[in-house]
Amino acid sequence: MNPEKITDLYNNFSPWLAAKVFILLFLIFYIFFALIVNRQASLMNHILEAKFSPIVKLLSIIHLLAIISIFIIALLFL
Amino acid sequence: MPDIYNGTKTNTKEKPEIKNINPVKNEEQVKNSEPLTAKTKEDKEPIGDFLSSFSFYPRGVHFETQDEKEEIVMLLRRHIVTNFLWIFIAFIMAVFPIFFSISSKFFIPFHIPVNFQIVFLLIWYTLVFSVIFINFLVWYFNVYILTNKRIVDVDFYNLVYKKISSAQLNKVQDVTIKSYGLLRIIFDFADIFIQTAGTEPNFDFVAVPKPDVVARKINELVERNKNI
Repeated sequence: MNPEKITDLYNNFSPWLAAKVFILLFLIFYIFFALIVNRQASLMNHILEAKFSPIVKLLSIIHLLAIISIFIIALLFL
Repeated sequence: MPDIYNGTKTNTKEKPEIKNINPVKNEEQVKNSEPLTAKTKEDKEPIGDFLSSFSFYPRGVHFETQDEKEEIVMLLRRHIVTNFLWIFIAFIMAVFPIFFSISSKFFIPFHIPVNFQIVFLLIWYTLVFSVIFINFLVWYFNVYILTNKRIVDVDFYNLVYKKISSAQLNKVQDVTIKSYGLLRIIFDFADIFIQTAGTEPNFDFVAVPKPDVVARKINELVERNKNI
């Protein structure tokens, strides 16, 4: 790589860009986590069925959708 | 003068005790030996609901391995008081941004852009929701089920570890209540250790409410299952 380009990259480095990358990576892992929560809640609802089961399922979906929404917001507005 | 002769003869001999040698059980025994499904409606009056830590004949609750004739007698969870710690942590987490926004100007020397502030706040409150939701799931799915035939223990320790074990009631040998600590005495909850025979697993009902009622019911059901 051209040494000038490395210098430019160093000069144009923004800590907020690094923060954005870090936040997006964190949110990707968080989405995987929410998927596991959603899957586990579904499996457990199958093991123990009660009147509250649909609400548990709904809460796990809201949880997942909230994190996906934040990921999209972070991707677009940061 | 004392009576030396009393004309009215009284039969001083007691009637011989008639032992019930009839192999047919008397009414009381029959009643006791009946399976629980045949009990009266009043005895099966539900107490608590599907969200409480002590439910008696809960309505609308089924578990995966439940037989058609099997009936849930008790559904137990850890006492509601045991959730205090994570509720407190969630509350601290929820109010933290308020204190942070007031005090941040003293220890953060640079300005955080508004869009970052909003995203940080959204992530933070999603984390708070996650803490509440996961701890609730662990409490909600960690159940001890007592049916008219067996004991089922569903252990949901965390998102990646769960264990479901069951034992027939006629294999139960010993029920021990273990209570310690001030909190347990005040709120009337304890651990119940159920020892079973042979290769059947032992059970540890952790922090269940009304332990004396639960232990009595287990013993009652065990006796009933032995009689059948």
